[in-house]
Amino acid sequence: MSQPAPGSSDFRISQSAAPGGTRIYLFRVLLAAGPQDTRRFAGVTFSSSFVQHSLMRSIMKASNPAGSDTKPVFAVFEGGRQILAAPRWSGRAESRTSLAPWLPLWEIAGAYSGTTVEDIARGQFRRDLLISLLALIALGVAAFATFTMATRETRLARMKSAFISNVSHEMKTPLALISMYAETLESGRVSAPEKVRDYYRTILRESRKLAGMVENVLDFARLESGRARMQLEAIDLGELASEVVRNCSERLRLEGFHLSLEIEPGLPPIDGDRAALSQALLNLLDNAVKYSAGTKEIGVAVLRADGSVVVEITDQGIGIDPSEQQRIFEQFYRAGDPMTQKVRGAGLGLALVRHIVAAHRGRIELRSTPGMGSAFSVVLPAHAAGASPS
Amino acid sequence: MISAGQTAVRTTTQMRVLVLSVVMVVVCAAILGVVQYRSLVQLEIRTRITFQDDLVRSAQSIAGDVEGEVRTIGAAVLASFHKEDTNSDVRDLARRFQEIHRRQPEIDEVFLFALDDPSGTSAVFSTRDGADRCT
Repeated sequence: MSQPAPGSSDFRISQSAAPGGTRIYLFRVLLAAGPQDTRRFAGVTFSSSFVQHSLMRSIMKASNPAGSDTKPVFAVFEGGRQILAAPRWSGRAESRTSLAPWLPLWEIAGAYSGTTVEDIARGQFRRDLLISLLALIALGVAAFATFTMATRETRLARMKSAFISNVSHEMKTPLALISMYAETLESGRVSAPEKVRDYYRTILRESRKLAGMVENVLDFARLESGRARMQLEAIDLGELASEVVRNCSERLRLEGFHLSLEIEPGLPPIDGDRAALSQALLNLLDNAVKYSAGTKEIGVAVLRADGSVVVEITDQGIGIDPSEQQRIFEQFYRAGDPMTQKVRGAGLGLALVRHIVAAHRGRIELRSTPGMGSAFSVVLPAHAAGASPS
Repeated sequence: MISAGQTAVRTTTQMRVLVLSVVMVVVCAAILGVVQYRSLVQLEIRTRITFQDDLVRSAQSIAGDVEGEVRTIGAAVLASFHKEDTNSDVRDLARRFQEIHRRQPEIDEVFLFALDDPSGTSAVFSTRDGADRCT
């Protein structure tokens, strides 16, 4: 049995190993000559079952802390031998705390149920890192989106500027011709009737070109703003295509083009706006004329395909680079090819075609090889039996 | 009137400002990322220490609970003894010890020690039958 541990209190606890198990003593000093002296004292020892019961109760209380996700578990060791443990004790201690000086023979080992301190810390680190990474990724995506949008707006502003310049230039040429021929006729310098007729024809042609150009710009503005209204009716696309071809065949013939038209018999009708579709086909034909270069062969074919009717306009011209095949349908966009840059245009024709075709729930397809020519296909859904155009 | 050249200069400047802004955002994000990572590493270390400390504190609390219970029960018993009791009659003490055992069954043994007894060290122990004095 050890002597009572020195201290300021009258009561002192001590512990000693005994054959029946550890004994816990509580002393009270009854008479002392000085603070370090114990001349007379009374003491009690406690039953081992009481001490173990008390320990177990405290362990269970500490194992269920309120408001905590991680549950600590404890075991008591005496000289390296486990004498008590909480029910979920796994045998692996995260910490060992000596109970000296009160109960110097015992050590309380602690751990977390089903996890370790390392796992808890690492799990929290990973969770926080993931949140930070997600925030950084969101920031990156936002920066990228802002950059893309701003780049697009800058490009659009540049294209609009180029569009104004192109339109002005395109208008200037027919206006100059009209003005020049009108002045010549007005001055009376030309008297030969054939020559006068030729001058009038030129004025008329240039006026139509000018009107067509203005019409294109206005139509595009209407479609862009959603103000355009389509008058849908059942249309024979073959008939419409032959009408468009007939209207411009003379002009194309004079310009040296050979225009072929092929219409599959028995085509189903489509629901469409006659004027808008005519304009779309005319724009595609104009496009084929503009970029035909030396080989002046243009083909128009109207075919049936899987519940749709397809108008295909092919040329043997300069073709379009694969990298630009999607972008040529953008408003104001003009392909970067030097041959394209030589041809006058506002960059609205194909954008207008795309808008018109989309308004008919159709699609436009392009097959093109640079130097070999292009084929634009307008695919429009056939008129469903029993359905009325809306 | 703005010429094409002026427009080109303006768009180039806009692009430069844009690229510069994006580069600044990326650099700031990278710096923040590094700072955040270092903070998280520190936090991980602190978390580990905190959880270890919690275990130690809980163990000390367990020991404190046991000590408190032992002290509460024992102090009530021991408070009834005075310095003169070491010289009291063994039979009187035996009765008192038995009364203590009856009231506090968790107490195994009661004893009194007098180290300054003229005849040497004197001790009175509770026994199964009552009390026993040794000198």
